[in-house]
Amino acid sequence: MVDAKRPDDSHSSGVVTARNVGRTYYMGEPVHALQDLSLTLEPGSFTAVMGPSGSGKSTLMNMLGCLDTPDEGTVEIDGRSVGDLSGSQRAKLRGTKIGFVFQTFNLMPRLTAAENVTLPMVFNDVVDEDRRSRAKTLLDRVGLGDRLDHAPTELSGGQRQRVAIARALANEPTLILADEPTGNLDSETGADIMELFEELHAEGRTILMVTHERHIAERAERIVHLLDGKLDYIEDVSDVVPTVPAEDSEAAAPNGGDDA
Amino acid sequence: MKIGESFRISWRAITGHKLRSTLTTIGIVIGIGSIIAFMVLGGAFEEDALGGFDTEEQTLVLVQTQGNVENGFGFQTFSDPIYTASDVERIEQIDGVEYVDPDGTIPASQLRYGDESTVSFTVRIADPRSFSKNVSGSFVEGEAFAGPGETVIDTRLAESLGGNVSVGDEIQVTFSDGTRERLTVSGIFNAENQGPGVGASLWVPEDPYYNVTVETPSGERERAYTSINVWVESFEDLNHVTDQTDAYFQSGESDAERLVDDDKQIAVQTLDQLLGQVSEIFDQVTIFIAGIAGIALIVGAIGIANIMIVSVTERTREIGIMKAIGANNRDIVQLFLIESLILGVIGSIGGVGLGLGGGYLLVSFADFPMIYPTNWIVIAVVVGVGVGVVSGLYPAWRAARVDPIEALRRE
Repeated sequence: MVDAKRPDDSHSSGVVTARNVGRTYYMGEPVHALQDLSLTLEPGSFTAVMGPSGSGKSTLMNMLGCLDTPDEGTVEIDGRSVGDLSGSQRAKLRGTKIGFVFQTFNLMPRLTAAENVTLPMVFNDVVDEDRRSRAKTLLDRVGLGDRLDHAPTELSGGQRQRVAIARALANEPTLILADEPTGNLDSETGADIMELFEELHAEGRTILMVTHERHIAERAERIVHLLDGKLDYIEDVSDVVPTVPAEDSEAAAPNGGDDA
Repeated sequence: MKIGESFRISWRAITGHKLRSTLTTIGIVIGIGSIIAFMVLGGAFEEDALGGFDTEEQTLVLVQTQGNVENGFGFQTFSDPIYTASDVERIEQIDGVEYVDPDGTIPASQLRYGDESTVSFTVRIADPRSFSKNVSGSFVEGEAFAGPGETVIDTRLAESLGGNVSVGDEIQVTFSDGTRERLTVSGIFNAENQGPGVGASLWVPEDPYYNVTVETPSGERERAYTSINVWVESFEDLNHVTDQTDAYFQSGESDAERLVDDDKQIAVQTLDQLLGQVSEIFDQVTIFIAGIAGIALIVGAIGIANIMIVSVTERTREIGIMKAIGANNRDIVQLFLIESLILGVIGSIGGVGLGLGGGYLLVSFADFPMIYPTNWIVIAVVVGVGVGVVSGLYPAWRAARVDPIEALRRE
């Protein structure tokens, strides 16, 4: 993993593909969380997923993040079908190919910022010295080079999310999965975080972001709309200027972008 | 994940809950500690009773009457006079026997030394040659008696007579039959290895003082003794003499065999065998008591399991995070197992410390020599580690089964 610090061309085969994916939960009666959904994430693409509660956003995230396996259809990451893998192979795939960013940050509370960033590399058996220098590089990258030894409780929400983003980048993943990354942040901090995602996109990383805020979703290249577990439609927003720039002085209300 | 990393992370989890971890380990500390303390105490007691004997090269065969202790462990020795003069003569004829020194006591009522007097003492008969064998002690002063009119007293008796007795002094013994004898002290003997419970003694030659007799099966009255010490010429003859002596007492020819009570046996043993028999009983008692202390250890193990289960529940979300960022089930099991292993190890190290410390206090209170039960320390640490692992198994398994999707949904 030493030379995996930048996305190289061998990763260009790193397409994430969902083919006719279905997932049904049985809670008394069957709940079709996803039905016949097909989606391809090209390398370097930035996709937003929108949809009302219960539309299958989380299930899709869990599928693409190898936390869950489809009942029907296949999910392929870098050409490997997730459904065919054993539990520990999927864990390995999660650790190396996927970087998670959560709404609630989900940092390990007793570990410092640097240790949190190190953890995915610990599970991936990266040697100690490499881990440390990489954690420092990544925290520098997200602007927290001076907060290496701070515990999560000593950091603000925005700083915690930056640590989480640095952690997501630790093993140079094929795909960054972000679940409402700005949901717990005020609009200004949220805008900073979105800028960071745009920079990561500009560096050529593949990002999929679930959000229910349109102005956040418009920062992506396209928006995948889900409804009742099915793909509703895909909207190309690569040329759209975000409806409400977060810095806009007139529309300071955080939900100013609500176009419903 | 590398084991070293697990230790680092698990250690962080333990130190993150100092009070809880401490209370958890105390269960193990007390369990292991009480076992070790009892082992120290038992071992020290045994050492105090038997430790001074150098049994390896002793050329002594003991013939004693033994029987089981009622309602208790082990055996006890009886002092019925059943070994007759004829028995002694027959044993003396066995090849390799140097001489036979029978034991017996002469009933006596009072002993005077100047203005001092005592009634608690025992008059024993002895062969003067046996004092130089060094099995049971050594002379502080003087030497063995040369003949009638002289006596060897032990240091305990010397103390109970005021501590001023010295060689050449006269003491006066009143025997139970009313006769009085003035005896000159020829030596003061330190009977350090008599063990606890043996009171003050003095030794006199068999003749002319000893006259305990029994009626033999053949209808005659003969002198009889309570036990027999057979001294062997060389160590090489020891087994042979032991076997021959034993055979004699089973041959049907000996008086003792016919005089002994039905519920008692005649035991023919080397000193080594006798001490082995005694120390086996000490060990049994010690292990029995330590076993009771071991219950505390079980309680401690349940404590670890309990706290680990709580810990898994409490850290469900963390487990979910770790799984999301690439931890597989083995990593999770490893983390929790190592955590409970560390608790077990700390507990057993603390327990060994507490046990040795507590044992030392008890031992010095009882005035026994301190011993270090190395075997038991090793066993205790192994058991502590085992307890840690075993009580961590179920919680670790539960941790591994945590569903990351559920766990991450938790607030």
